[in-house]
Amino acid sequence: MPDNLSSTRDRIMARIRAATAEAPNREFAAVLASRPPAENLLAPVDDPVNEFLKRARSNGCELIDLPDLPELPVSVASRLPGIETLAADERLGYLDWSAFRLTDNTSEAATGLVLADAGIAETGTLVFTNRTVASSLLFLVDHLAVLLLLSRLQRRQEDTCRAIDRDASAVHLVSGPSRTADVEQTIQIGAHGPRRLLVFVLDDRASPVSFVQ
Amino acid sequence: MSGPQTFIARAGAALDDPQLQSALARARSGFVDKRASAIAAEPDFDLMRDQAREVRQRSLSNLAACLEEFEQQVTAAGGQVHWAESTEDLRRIVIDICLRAGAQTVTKGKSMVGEEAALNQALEQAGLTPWETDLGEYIIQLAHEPPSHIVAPALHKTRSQIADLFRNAHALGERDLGEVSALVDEARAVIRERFLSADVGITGANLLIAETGTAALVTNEGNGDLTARLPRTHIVTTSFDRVVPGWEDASKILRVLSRSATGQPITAYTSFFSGPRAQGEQDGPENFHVVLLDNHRTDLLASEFREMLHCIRCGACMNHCPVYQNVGGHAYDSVYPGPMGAVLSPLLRGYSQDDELPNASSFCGRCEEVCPVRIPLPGLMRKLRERETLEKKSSWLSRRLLAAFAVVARKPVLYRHLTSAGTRLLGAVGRRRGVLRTVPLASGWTRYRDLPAPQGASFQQRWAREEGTKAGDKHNA
Ligand code: SF4
Repeated sequence: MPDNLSSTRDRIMARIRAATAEAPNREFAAVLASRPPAENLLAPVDDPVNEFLKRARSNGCELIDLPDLPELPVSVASRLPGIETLAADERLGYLDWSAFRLTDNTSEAATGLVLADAGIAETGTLVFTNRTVASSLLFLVDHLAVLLLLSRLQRRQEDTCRAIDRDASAVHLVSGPSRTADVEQTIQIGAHGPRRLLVFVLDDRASPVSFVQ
Repeated sequence: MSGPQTFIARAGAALDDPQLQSALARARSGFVDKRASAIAAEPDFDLMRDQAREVRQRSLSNLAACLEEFEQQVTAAGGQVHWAESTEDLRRIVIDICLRAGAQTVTKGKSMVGEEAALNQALEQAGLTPWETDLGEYIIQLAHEPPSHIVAPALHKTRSQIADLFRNAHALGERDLGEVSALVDEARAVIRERFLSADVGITGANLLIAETGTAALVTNEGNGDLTARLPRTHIVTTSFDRVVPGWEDASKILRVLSRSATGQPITAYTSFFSGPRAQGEQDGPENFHVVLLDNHRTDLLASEFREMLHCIRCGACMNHCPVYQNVGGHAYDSVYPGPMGAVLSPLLRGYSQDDELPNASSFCGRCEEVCPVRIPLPGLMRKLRERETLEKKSSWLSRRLLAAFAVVARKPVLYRHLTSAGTRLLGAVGRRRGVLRTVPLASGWTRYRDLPAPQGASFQQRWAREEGTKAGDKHNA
């Protein structure tokens, strides 16, 4: 076997090159740059806040209008009566959680509380990266409570991937509670992940909030 | 798979299976109606399809550059890319990684490439314990059956069949599994323990993104994320043709994928995995591997069938196919059923019995109409059939056509729907071959038309079985 075809990889790549003679040895940068500016052709998302609310609701999210950040613990308590243990995003730890027992152990916590890195109006989606939130927190809890700041709301997915830390080893787009339709096409909420997804929406566009890291 | 050896014989058995027919009836309205309303709510859907198709075209034309970038990025992030020429290579690579990780247990998310390579059996033979975590995959693992649909693998199972499987496998006591919610909760409890204890997690990928070395995964259950993030090692089994250049290209695909598959604007979870857990990150695996399968896809890329690689595995073509709707996925005897499978299976496996699959079609054109990336499936099936004809099996052609009609003729609505297309097709065959060598067809057809309505075991069915036996002999030889 000649050296230049010595590995499976090289053999496969050689076949691919031969099969795609229309673009021989094109640089990857040129490929990326050759993308048509297509999303501009889609109807604009005119009213991102309302679009987000409408889409998130139809995805099965429970939406709560949060008048101001210090009210979050009270608002969470009233929405999730009987919840004692919280696995909370450390950025939100400085709020007054004295009514709850905070835990780091995701698998025992019934409820997770996290700050979204972004929201996407187009699909009513919440965005997280594991630079800021553990993946297991998003998926192992029974109820997931999310704080969304409207200043972080993006119109479309394309806008979002430019706005987040996409080099993180995990980026999660979450659009509703976990569900399955694998038994007789019947949609059942709560397959492996959260059974409830509560979104506390805070309009911080006029008065930005900052978080203690 | 054991059982009847030809599509026609399997299809006949499927039509006679009341449990399967009731499961299929439910799926029919489920998928078709949900997609229709999702698309009615999206005035830009045709534009979205054009964009998705453009991405698939551009990705495949520039595959070498994309794959090189992908590999570089995965490596830079601390992961590893492996290349598998055959399904055997893929099995060996995955088992090697598992054994080197000292693994005993493996959680698995849904991976069509894993199914294509029959990975579970291989893992078991290597002494590992594979645990499927997607509810549908878990059900068919318990039933020791292959998937019957690329999106909903257990689509052919009824609620009571699933309850029986759980009763056999789990210590349930007297618990009632009559409700769908009880079944889902039962699976959730059993699989939860497995997520927490597995040594390796294996998932598929709906897309690969070259610019960041990312595998994207679309699920509703969240099982893929728990499979990918909790074990110490994450292996992605996929094929190289899944790659797209950038994140914005991925958005174009995602926009049409779930609308076409389940009628959702987006699924509950879309996740992007790039390498192992990095410093300062909250959690994630220590090892990240991507195994890229070829298994004749490079041949497809070089052929007139390249468009088949545009497929994003949404399942819409099978959901809307009158043949699939009536006989289900197992009749195709391939992990890829329906119109996409009728093209893909013969090209990937080249089994002699796959030659009949491109004829397991009514050529009504619904599949092409609904395909989000506009793959001309009936045209590709015709090309395959022509190729097959040229390659010697011409004497089979009319018999296969006839056989496909035997399947649909038992369904009056379907029959009426397809008759005109069938006439055209047979006419074309007759012209090309000079004589229409299908005397049995003529008599079968006439007799059918003389019957007031199809009832019970019909002539066509008996006929199909006889044909099936004969055809089976050929393959046994
Ligand atoms: S061929 Fe088209 S419709 Fe069928 S699964 Fe592939 S993308 Fe979907």
